[in-house]
Amino acid sequence: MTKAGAPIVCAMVAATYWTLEPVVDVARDGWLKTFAIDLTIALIAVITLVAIFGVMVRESGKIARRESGHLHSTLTLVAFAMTLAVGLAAGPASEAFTWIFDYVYAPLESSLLALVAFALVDTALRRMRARSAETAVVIATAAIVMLGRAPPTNTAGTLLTPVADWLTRVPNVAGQRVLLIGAAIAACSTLLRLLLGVERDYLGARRS
Amino acid sequence: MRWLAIIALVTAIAAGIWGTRPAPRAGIAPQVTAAHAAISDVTAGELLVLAVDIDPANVPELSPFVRLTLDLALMRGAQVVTLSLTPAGAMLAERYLREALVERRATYGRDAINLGFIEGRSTAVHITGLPLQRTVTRDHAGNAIGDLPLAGRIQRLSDATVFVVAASGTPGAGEWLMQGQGRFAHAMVIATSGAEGSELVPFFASGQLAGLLGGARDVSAFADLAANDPRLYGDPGAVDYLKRLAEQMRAQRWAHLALVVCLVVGQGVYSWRGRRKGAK
Amino acid sequence: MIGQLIGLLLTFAVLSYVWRDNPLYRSAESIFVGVALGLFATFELRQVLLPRLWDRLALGPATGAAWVAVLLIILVTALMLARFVQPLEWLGRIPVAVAVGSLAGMAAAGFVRTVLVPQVGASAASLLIDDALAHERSVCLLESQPPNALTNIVCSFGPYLNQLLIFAGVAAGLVYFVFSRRENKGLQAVSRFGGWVVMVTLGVTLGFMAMAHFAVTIGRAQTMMETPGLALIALAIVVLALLCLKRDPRKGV
Repeated sequence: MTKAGAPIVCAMVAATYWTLEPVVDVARDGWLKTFAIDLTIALIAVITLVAIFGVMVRESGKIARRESGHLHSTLTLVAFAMTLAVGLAAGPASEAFTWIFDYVYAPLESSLLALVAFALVDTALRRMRARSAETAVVIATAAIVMLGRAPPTNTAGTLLTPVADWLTRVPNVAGQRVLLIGAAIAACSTLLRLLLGVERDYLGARRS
Repeated sequence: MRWLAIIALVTAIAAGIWGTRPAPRAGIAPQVTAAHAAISDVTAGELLVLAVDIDPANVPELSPFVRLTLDLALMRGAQVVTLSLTPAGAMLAERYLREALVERRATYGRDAINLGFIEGRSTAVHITGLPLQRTVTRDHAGNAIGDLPLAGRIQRLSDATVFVVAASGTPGAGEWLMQGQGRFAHAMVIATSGAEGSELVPFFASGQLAGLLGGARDVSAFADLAANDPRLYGDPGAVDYLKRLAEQMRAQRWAHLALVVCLVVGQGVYSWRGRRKGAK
Repeated sequence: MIGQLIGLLLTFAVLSYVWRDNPLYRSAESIFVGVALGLFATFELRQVLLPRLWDRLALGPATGAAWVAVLLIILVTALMLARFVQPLEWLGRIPVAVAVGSLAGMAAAGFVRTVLVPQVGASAASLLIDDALAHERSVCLLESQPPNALTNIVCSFGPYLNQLLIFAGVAAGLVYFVFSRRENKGLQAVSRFGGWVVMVTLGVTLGFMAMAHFAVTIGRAQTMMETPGLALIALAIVVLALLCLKRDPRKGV
């Protein structure tokens, strides 16, 4: 087996196992299943750690070369080191780690996502335009659903809530099924390409 | 124009939170009633598994559902196991479980356990179909699984009567649905943020989900139903959640109105400029 | 109280982006990246790798199978680190390939079992199986009390028409996406109908998303209202900091 062929064969074997797992008894239960789960979980964990390590190396490089934004990189490294130190020493269930989660991570994450609401309203005022019949339908439907699910007055609620619910239960179900079926076909196509050895993007830039 | 939009949003939210008039009722969707029925039907000794995969950002939307589910299950004497596909979910599950155990006078390890973060995304769901003692060695706090009485009574998590998923983003509802639904005999209820709510309606329509909550409106309706449970009626925790959800829905209606007004004004300005250009 | 003040300071530092991009916002963003990566690294090391590799031997039965499983896991994950050694770089692709293959296989199997078969089946079966329609009719009649002639007609035919619309919408939507060349007029009409259905779906998704995003912002506002005094102090500190920051015309901050 060549150096290029080994990863492709490994991907094929893994994909075949997980595809047949629901229907083959020996693959669904027992030591083989436990081993496959342990292996996949450990792999994902190590891949995540290597990626995190790569980010920290990149930030350290920025600091060493005094590039633009190196002060922010310092902040990132310090925050990472402190969180990791507390987490490894005291554990995720400790008071100190919970404090970092409750008063640093949670407010930051929530606030970053809260910015999207401002962007949404700004976009609605300055960018969302019904330039065609299709976009007019999208915008009108969105407006009816918004006002139907959180009606400003009782009258609006009486008129719009049933319409919003109908739109959600009928045309939305049809459209979502189309998107889901499309995604299912795409997943099967990716699997087929992997099993045939045609899909090689995961090998990186060098493909032989 | 940009500042107009920002001021409109801030005013709308402030008016909602400080306002006192209750928001108009938006009705209770059938998937919410079904979710409440599925969770309330759990009896003493049965197993309820709660997957908490929410981010801190979605806490205002989904945490009332998580807490009320824990309250309803523990009050009925059900056995509760929580687990998460995300680290943030594991931290939040631990917090809510400990709070619920104190309020319902239940004991950790005997009535409920938190298995914590299970890595693997889709793979982690498969763990629920294997013997618990073989696949999980420690809970979130680091206790050995063998030392927890409840873990000794559970063969597999897939034996649960009902599997409840509170999730937003990835990994989350999609993974539990794709890998767990249909494989195991339990009923599945999903509560998700509004962003994913509309995408999961087909699964309720086809009968694959026993219940579905998509966003603050559905969680608010669920809280109304749960608060009418005789054992929770007048409970300070439930009342507090109802108050916060009422504020949330009041602010939502004004924020939505502000957004629709911005859409109409923006479209009006665009049309007027277009006509002026045409006239020139 | 200190924790709450720090949380509010960080909240206002991030929200200052609404005014303009500034070093305070970027600092908060950098802290978030560091803490988030630290959180993930902590969980991966303490909650995932340590229990799976060590506990399985120390706590579980120390059988030959357990040892083989653990050693193989250590071997394959060590291969991941081989990518940093130039001559052995090709070995580092094996763990990635196994992970990609596993997730692709799981995803495809999940989609077939949960989506393709049940969803396609439900679209067709709902027109033929009377139980679901009967349930919808009874719910419709219950909700339209007191009943009259109009509600009786709507509740008798409404559920069937809804299911017919869903079936037609799914079929037309698939035509819209699958057939890129629509030479015949019939196909064009069906495709156009499918396009409308997809547009309505996008509109519904946008409406739901708006509620989700507003919920986050409203939640932040509710947190600020819990401790208004601390919120005002935090806001004052952040505003002062922004005013004191020098404006650099090159960087726009």
